[in-house]
Amino acid sequence: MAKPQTRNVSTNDSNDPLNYPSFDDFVAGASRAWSLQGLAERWNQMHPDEPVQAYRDFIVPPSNPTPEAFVDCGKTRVFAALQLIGGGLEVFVAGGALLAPEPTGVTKVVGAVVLLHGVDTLQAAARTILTCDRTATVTQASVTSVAMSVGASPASAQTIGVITDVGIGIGGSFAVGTLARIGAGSGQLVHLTNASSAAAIRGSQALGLGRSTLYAGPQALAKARHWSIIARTGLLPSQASEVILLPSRANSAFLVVQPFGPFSAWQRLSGTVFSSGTGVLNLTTGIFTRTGAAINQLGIYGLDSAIMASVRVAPGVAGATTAPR
Amino acid sequence: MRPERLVQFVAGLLLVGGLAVWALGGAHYLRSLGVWLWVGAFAVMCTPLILLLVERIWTRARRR
Repeated sequence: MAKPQTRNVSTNDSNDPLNYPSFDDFVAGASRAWSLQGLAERWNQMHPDEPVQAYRDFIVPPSNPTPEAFVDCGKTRVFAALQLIGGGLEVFVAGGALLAPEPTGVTKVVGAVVLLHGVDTLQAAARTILTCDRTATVTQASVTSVAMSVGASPASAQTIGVITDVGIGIGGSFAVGTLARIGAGSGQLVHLTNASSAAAIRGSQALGLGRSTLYAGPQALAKARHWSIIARTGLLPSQASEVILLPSRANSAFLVVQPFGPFSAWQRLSGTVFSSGTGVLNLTTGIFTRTGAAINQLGIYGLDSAIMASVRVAPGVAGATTAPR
Repeated sequence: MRPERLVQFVAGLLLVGGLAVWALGGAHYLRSLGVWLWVGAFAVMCTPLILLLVERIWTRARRR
């Protein structure tokens, strides 16, 4: 063990550890140009009897053998909680697909795959939260192992594993969402709009101009007032001052929203349904004339999916950083 | 602009911003900033859901 140095308080060098009684004082007084790790190394050279251990932006107990786990525990659990939400949504979407009436069975097969992957994601997230040690899903571990066995480097195999894992979750859910076309049910639907649009709709007895996806909700929306309207529809009260009752026959033109992420989960919980494409709904006959794909809703699904994918890969990205003090 | 569109727009900006920072930041602390932009996008997308839950609790409390 190196012999402790004698403290020399007579020099005016602010970067000399011997001029400070504690490491905290040294950090406060030393030049900002030094990283925390650099300061810790200098301190330990001069004060071997009072060593400190620096990791990223933190000082961890010198006795701790795994400083990474100590520092990142909170962050690891936050990301695992997001993974848990993602897995829960996968199971929910897959459950809907397995229960939906569908003649070909394709949705059932994809739904089963998504269900298994969702359960895999849930168990990995739960284990990560409990142990505070990042646990890979069985899917990721298997794909990583296969990639390594065919000659990929450990880093590349890891990346392939993560991308495959996230891809199955997001792609599978997306496939189920577009394949499982769950109808809006039998309850009366309403469409909220402003006064001028309502007058045009009532005059023409047609909802929509054929350029965008149509949205509707349960009849209870008609009673919503003030901020309840924003919470349930995402519209300002002035944009939803009029209620258009839709004929029951029109229900078959509307689909239930599949929850891919937080925004589509909100739509699902609020009872929002969307038309199976862009088009015009005849309010007299209830017949919907489709003119194209439901771009608006596909955009929401895409944004939700991208956000869920990014928070899933985030722990791997964040773990590869070297933060300055 | 509709509040729901505003939420999508802000979340989209944060997501793309996070992607750009992650791609351009290299193996440096900027990548960590990209991650937090993604988490911000997630949080923004959660605001309607949180508002809806608050509204439901509020409505039930008023009924009692």
